[in-house]
This record gives sequence, C-alpha cells and structure tokens, in this order.
Amino acid sequence: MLRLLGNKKLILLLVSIIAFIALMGLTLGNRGELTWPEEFVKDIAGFAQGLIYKPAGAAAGFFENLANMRNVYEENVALKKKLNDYARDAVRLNVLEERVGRLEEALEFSERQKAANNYIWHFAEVVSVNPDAFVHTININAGEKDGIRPEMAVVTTEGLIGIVIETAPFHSTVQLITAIELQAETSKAIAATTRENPDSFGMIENYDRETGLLEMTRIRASDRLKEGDTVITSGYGGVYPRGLVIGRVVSRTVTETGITHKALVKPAVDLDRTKIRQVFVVEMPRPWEEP
Amino acid sequence: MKNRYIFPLIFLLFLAESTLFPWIFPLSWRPVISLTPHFALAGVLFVGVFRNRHQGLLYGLIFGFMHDIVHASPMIGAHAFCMALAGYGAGAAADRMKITLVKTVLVMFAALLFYDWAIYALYRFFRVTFMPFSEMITDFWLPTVLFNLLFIVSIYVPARKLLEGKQDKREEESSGV
Repeated sequence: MLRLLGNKKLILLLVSIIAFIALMGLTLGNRGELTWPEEFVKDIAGFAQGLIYKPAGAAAGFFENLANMRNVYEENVALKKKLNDYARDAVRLNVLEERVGRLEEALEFSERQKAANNYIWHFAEVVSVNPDAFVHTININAGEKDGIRPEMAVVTTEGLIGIVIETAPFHSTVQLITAIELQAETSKAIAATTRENPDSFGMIENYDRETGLLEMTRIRASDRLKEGDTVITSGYGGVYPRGLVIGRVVSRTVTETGITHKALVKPAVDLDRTKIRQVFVVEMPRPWEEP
Repeated sequence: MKNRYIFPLIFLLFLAESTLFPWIFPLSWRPVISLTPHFALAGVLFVGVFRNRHQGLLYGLIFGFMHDIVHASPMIGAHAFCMALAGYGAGAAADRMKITLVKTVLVMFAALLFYDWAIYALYRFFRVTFMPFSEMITDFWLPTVLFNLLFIVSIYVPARKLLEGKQDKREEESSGV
C-alpha cells in the first residue's frame, strides 16, 4: 500500500488527514449561526430541494390516499366529534383567558411577565430529509429572515418533534428528538412533566431506536406519574417552552440504581422522518435579548 | 461528455438522495433498517473510475462538503474527507486495470465499504453515535451496500456512455455489458 502511494503523496495524505481532523474537531456540535459560504450553499440547495420534495410528496400522498379511501367514513365521524370538542374548548379558553388577564392586572404583572406565555408560531414546510442514518435531521424552508433562531422548539399539530440547530437566511435544520442520546454531545435532554400532575419531573434523555420509545429518567420514587399520563415539556430547561406535548407514558420501572424511577414514553408524533411535512417553529418571547 | 454537465448531474443525484428517495423507499421498514442512499457518492465514483482520480477527488470534495453543510453534519468535513478519498481511491484502482463491469462493481464495493465504515468510525470517535459495531453491520451497512451496488449496476451503462469519450465505444461492447 505504501509503495503504491509514493513518498510525496503519503505526506500529502497525512497532512490532509490532520487538517480534516482539526476541521472536524473545531466544527463539532451544534454551531447555530453559520458563516456566509455555508448559508449560501444551504439556501441554494434548500431551494432546489423544495422544488423536488413537495411534488414527490404529493405524488406519494396520492397513492397513500387511495389506500386510505376505506377509512374516510370513520375518520369523518372522529373529526366531527373533535370539532365539537374544539368549539367547547374555545369557549372555555376565552373565559379563562379573560379571567387570567384580569388577575394579572390585579396583581400588577409587568409587561414582560404578561408576555412570557405569548408564543409565536412560525409555519414551515419540510424540504429535505437527511439521508445519513446516524444523523437525525430535516431541513425546513424558514430561516433567519422569518425569525427562526437556533434552539427554538419545533412541533407538529400532534406534538414536539425537535429543535432548530442551524439557521441560514431562508432555510434551517431541525434535529429530531430521535437524536436524543444520553452520552452524545450533539443532543440535549428535555426537562419534562405531565399534564395530569404538574409536580412530576423527569428528563427525556434517550431514544430507543428498536422500540421507538423515549426514556424519561430521574423521576423521584414518590412522584405520582403513572401509565397513560401525557408527558409535556416543563419549561425548566429554558430551551423548550412549557406545555408542548411529547407523548404518553407506556410503563414505569425502577432504575438499576434503585433510587430513581424511569418511564418509557411513546412519542405523540410518528417520528418517521418522511411522515413529517409541515411543522411549526415555536418562538418564546425573550425580552432579555432585545436591545 | 463535456465536463460542465458532470456537476449538474451529480447535483441532481445529491438532491434525489434527500428528497426523492424518502418517498420511494417503503416507509414501514425505516425504523429497523437504516438504509442510506449514496447516489452522489456513486456519481463521484463513476467520475473517478471513468475520468481520472483527480476529478474523483475534486468532485468528492465538492459534494462531500455540500452534504456536510446542507444536512448539518455534526462535524464539517466528515463526508468531504471520506467521499474525496473514496473517489480518489476508486480512480487510482481503475487506472491500473482494464475497466469491465465486474471490476467496476468490485472497486465500487471497496469504495462503499471504506466510505460507510469510515463515516461510522468518525461518528463513534467524535461520540455522535453509539450504535454497536455488530448492529451497524446488520441494520445499516448490509442493506445500504446492497442497495447502492444495485443502483450502481443499474446506472453503469448510461454513466459509462456519458463519461467516456466516443473512442471507447468498442471497448464497452467487448466488455460484455
């Protein structure tokens, strides 16, 4: 092998290996904002990808719809019921919102405190799926110019799917929650609680590829979390806003150490990368960042 | 074929990887089998084999960096390095022999093996993935390499026609394609 290469080429190869390892080490991890050549490449490619992905998805969706034709009646009944529930909830929400507003006035909340729960939802469409089996990301067609910033949570109508890790002017990259890995330095754990019991606390720290379940750890033994509870983000981490649905508790067991419990959570969203087409990026008000 | 057509064609393959492929591949298999298309890499390898090793290196660098940037690889340079080296290696190997379909497939198999294993090794080294080696072989590498070899064989004839000059036409017919 060495004789094949020759002295000069061998040195060149070694130098380039060192250079590349250095480059990889420097750029390791989620870097957030990109340099301008990267932004340029990402936007050009993202634009071209958008041209292909949507028609391809529409064609695939057409065949999917044909297959689903039989379920239309049942689906219609279920949707009508949901719509009734929605109308009822909307009335309740209006009443509650008004009451909270009045209480906030009475307690003299500052403008910043009042705005703390006013999330802004940016709509975006998926333009491409990362083919790399080890890196769980998708690209969406909204970027810095649309107000997207790194570390914003990304959801679908069903629940949380991930977090923005890189932004170009018109496109950004979303890391899915399937990338969450306890030991990996490239993903973040999610502080979670349950809708049924706001005192519950746990960390979503792992995703099991085989079973498709998220692992929620560091639950106190006295915690009232139980099977069937809806797991939501707690907002304590400061990255994910409060109240985004993550999934449903499937089982709860004692961890190996015997001190804390862990629960397995079935994600609310089908996290198959290709089934996600439209997403919302949730912007939390961050008044402390404004000039 | 003129050189200026090579870039747009591989760029189309690069786009197909992340946009068309997810819709074509049966969705229900995905959670278990992480099949990965290497269409752009296949294009780079063909350039390396049928043009020369320097062009393989150049296109490998370009499309490797493009992959790293567009798909937000955990570290920039992983795909660029592996793709460039695979393209150069395939070109260097092809320089030493008469090109036939079987030899091309063998060279490309070696290049795919290098590419996938090197990417996996880099990801393990930089603590991006923690998939055990045996699991990587069964769930990721075997389906990936089989699928990509199938793809390479299926575009072998048009790719060779496009990349080689007219004077090689006779040789192609005699190679038993």
